[in-house]
Amino acid sequence: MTMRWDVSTKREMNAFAREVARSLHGGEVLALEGTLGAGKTYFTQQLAKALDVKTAVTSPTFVLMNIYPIANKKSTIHQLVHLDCYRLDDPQELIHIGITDWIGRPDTVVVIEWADKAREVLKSFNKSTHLIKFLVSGSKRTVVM
Amino acid sequence: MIILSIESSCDETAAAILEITGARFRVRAHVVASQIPLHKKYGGVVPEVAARRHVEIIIPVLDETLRTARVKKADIDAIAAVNGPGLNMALIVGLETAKTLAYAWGKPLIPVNHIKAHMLANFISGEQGRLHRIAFPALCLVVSGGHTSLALLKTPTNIRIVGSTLDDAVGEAFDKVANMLGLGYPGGPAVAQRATAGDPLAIAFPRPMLTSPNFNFSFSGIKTAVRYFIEDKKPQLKNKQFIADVCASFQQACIDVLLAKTLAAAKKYNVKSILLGGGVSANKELRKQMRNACEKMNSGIQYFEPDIAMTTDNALMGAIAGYFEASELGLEKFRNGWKKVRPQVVLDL
Repeated sequence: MTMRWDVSTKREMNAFAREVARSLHGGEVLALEGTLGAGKTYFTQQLAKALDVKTAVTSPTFVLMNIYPIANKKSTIHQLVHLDCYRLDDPQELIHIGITDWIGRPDTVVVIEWADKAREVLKSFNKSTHLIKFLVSGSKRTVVM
Repeated sequence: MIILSIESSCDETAAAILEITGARFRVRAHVVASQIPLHKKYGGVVPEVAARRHVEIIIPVLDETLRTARVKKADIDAIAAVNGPGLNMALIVGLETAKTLAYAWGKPLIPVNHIKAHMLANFISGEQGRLHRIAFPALCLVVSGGHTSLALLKTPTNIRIVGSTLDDAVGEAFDKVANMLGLGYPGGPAVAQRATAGDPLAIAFPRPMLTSPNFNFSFSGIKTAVRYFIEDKKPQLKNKQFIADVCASFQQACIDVLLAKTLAAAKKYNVKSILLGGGVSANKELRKQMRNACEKMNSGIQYFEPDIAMTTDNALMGAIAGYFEASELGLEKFRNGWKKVRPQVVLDL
């Protein structure tokens, strides 16, 4: 079932990120799709905050992958892995940068920006991937999940 | 001291050999995989991102380095290699190569921080000469596709970050704006080039965090502002002057924030030198405005900028960093370094 959220304000986007964070237990893969400036990194920052990541979450576009420890020792999730396919010409590169070390690990949540560039590779992992689409139209922002 | 240095933390595979005697240096070799016609010899093009290519190209790069340097293994005093921050799968290639050599040749192995190395690139200019006399404490603005930070250097080895971007690095913002304007990849140089014909005051893009009471940055908002600005002006994207004005105004918004934060931090920490580092430090307008601003301060602060060839990832800067580590702690400390050094995906200064 797909759901639609209005996230035109930061407040609404933050609430959406908190809602997603509450549903995570570890082992999930979030595939983010949406154009430049649609709010993918902002969403991930708010998600990280809700998951109790204490360090600043920055865009992984150039560094390709960032790994953030979860501060809350009681959480079943121990790290948030943040990847970005923006610069990848060949989606197989996801494998070469080490995504298989993390995907499906029960103590890890993997967030992938520009996931539309690597749909086939993500499918091949055979793990349930939650697709989140970020849509922008004028000043209205919507997410579809 | 002769140092062999290896770098493979992200996209580039590189090696270099640097000789430092007293205050004089000589670059014996400086090889970066994407910048030499090496790939013609060994087949294929070196793609922009290719973690696996490090494995294929590291030995040819080393071979080229040792041959051009005319250095025998007996002449080498130490091996320096970047151990982080970076991608695990990329770091491991250069680091394991360095460890293997250190083990086989019985040489000290000095682990080097990639970001520190960018800062210390300021110590040399050209192929040989004197090391620059940089007065400390110094402040370094590190700007690249992946990083935007202000660092306080008490000495060449005692460094701490005093501010960083909270979202996008400035080089990434340049790149994504280039993409929106259809200027291709890599976008930084393309935006800077178009900006030379534009009016930096044409469009008032925001200057995020300009007045925030810290030394952090945010560039995501400028990027999004450009996106909104061009959204209803699609036909104008074919107009060269329009593109030039957008580029110049965007670039100036970024430079204004970088300059203001750097100068404020320089005052607060009472530094004697200001340094630039990283890929975006090749931006001519940033260099010019930072130089002018330092002169205007009239406080005797010296300004340094790295050679253009040293702005993007390379191994020479790692050799300089390795030299200062060895000078500070002594080479003995790094003997049998191959036993201890591991890649550090996250590595603080």
